Amino acid sequence: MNKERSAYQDFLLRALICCCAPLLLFAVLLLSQGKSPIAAYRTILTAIFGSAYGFGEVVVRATYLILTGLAASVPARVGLANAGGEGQMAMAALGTAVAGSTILASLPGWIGIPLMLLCGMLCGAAYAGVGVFCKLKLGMNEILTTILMNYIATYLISSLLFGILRDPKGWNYPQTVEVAPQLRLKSFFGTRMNAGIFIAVGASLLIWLFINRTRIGFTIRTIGGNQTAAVYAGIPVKRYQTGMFLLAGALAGLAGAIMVIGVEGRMRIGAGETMGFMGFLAAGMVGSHPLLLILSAFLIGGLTVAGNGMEINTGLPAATMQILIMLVLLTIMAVGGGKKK
Amino acid sequence: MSELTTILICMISAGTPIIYALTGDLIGQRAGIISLSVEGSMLCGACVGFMLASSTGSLLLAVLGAAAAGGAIGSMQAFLSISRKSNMMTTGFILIFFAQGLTTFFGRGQLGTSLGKSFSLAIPGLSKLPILGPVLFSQDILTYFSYLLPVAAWWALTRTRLGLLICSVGERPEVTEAYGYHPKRLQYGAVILAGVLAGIGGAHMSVIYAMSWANNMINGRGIIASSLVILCSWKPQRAYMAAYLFGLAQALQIFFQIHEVPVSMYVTLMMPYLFTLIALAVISTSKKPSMPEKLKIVT
Repeated sequence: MNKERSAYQDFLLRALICCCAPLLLFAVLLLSQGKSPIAAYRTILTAIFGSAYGFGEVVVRATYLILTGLAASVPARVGLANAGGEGQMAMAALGTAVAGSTILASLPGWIGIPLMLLCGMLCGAAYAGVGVFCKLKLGMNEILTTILMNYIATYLISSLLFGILRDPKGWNYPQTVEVAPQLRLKSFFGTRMNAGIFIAVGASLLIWLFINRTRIGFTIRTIGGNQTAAVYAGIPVKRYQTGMFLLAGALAGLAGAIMVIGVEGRMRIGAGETMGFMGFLAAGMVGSHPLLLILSAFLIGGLTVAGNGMEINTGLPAATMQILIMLVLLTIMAVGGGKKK
Repeated sequence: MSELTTILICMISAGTPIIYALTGDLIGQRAGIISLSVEGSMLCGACVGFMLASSTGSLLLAVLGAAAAGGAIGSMQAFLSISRKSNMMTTGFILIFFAQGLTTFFGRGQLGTSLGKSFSLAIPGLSKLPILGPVLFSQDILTYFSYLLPVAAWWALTRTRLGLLICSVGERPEVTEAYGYHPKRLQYGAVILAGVLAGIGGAHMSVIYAMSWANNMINGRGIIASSLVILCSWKPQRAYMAAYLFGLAQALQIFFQIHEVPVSMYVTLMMPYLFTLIALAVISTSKKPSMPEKLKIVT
């Protein structure tokens, strides 16, 4: 690379490569299968912007992705990685759905909805607690532990939904009993969009303020910057790490709770699948920055919604869009993403 | 066939893909790079292997194709985590999803087709032994290779110059460099080898074990293999124990079915993951002197 070129130009060049290279590679891939890339890209655009419902879906996905992305970013600030957003979100959704149809079902909405969200956060934090226990007490690699726990959560939830938690009036479909109607969030404009997006954006603002503008946040940044130095400075690193990991679990749990009270109304099999993983990647894409995360969450959310549109219009599997998303991420990694530490 | 034999046969054939991925990733980790992407390599190997096996009917071509596909994912992991110094865990994660997308895309024509041809090959003589015969020697050529693989890896890592160099990179790359070798080249080799072996393991999964292709059929086995490296304490000769422990967890399904134990199918499917997690928790309480130095920084 030419060293005389300014950092600004360098950044623009990298950004340009990140935008174009994945689209070109993806087009080549589609052409190799005899599919028109132009039609595919048009499908992507119409799936996202073509209808209010489509855009609403993007917002719904972005809500989950912001929260699960925060669940990955927050521990990253204290030198941990949480790849378990998927399991934490699913367990929280199950917990919320069960609570909403049993103990919380008779409460009025104004107290019930916050309690439902709290319930989701507690479930998520509890499931994340196992991961952080394994890390700090047993010295196990938290990425491997949390990924394994994602699989365990998936199968545990399946066994419960096919077993004791199955709705007896649900036509044998593996889902829980619906939560009480006053505990649901209202949807807007005839889409599935709901107030959850405000909670998610609010959460990322709060996390940004918390990390960058408070005294505790300063300690957290110290730990993230140099853990050894933090230990010598007398900071109880493990206590902070535990706290941040539990907070991460709570945030992923919030995504699960919003999914139940905002969109699904119950826990059903496969609800919110891959949103935890994608959130982890959305966070990785922007270097765990809580505010930029909102953008990457919308981008990835949009592309996953477009995947469903692709399946309908071009007959390609929805996972095709996963290739495009991953091409974007791989390109960002390969060219350094314009993000310089 | 007795019940024990059935369970043991299942244990061996479920453990075989793990042995390949485990040994491969173990060599990579000794060189200081964790490839979570072995999961992706396995997926690509399974998909390409099945395509070639069903179109050409040749196991050799299937294995070669699978090895190449697995190696391709491995080389991406190598490039990003060695040359670009990206976070190896995140890179592996992305590559898993990349492989999932690619295999779903290219494998969509293979869904629902069955191979209609078995590649099992009993070893004459040995397969007549009681219990051991059907369990160990009535399998297939890839399984027979897997019996030798960990020993070969152990020999290569501890008794050959190349193997010792690979291990030295995982401990002190500066020293390797000072002796006039290229740490990066050695790492590249090890990580790509991990991908190649995982690809072959994936081919075993689709061509021999399941005899069909299904989307995301590896379903975390690569990640399990990657975790089991810790259980092996980075010693290849322990790969048998770890992989067959996983195989046994999988074979419990059959035990439950035979005895009509009233547990949900999903609980039995969960077993291998739970086993791995518990095994890691148990091993974690002992100290880890054998962990490669370079990995201590990242984990």
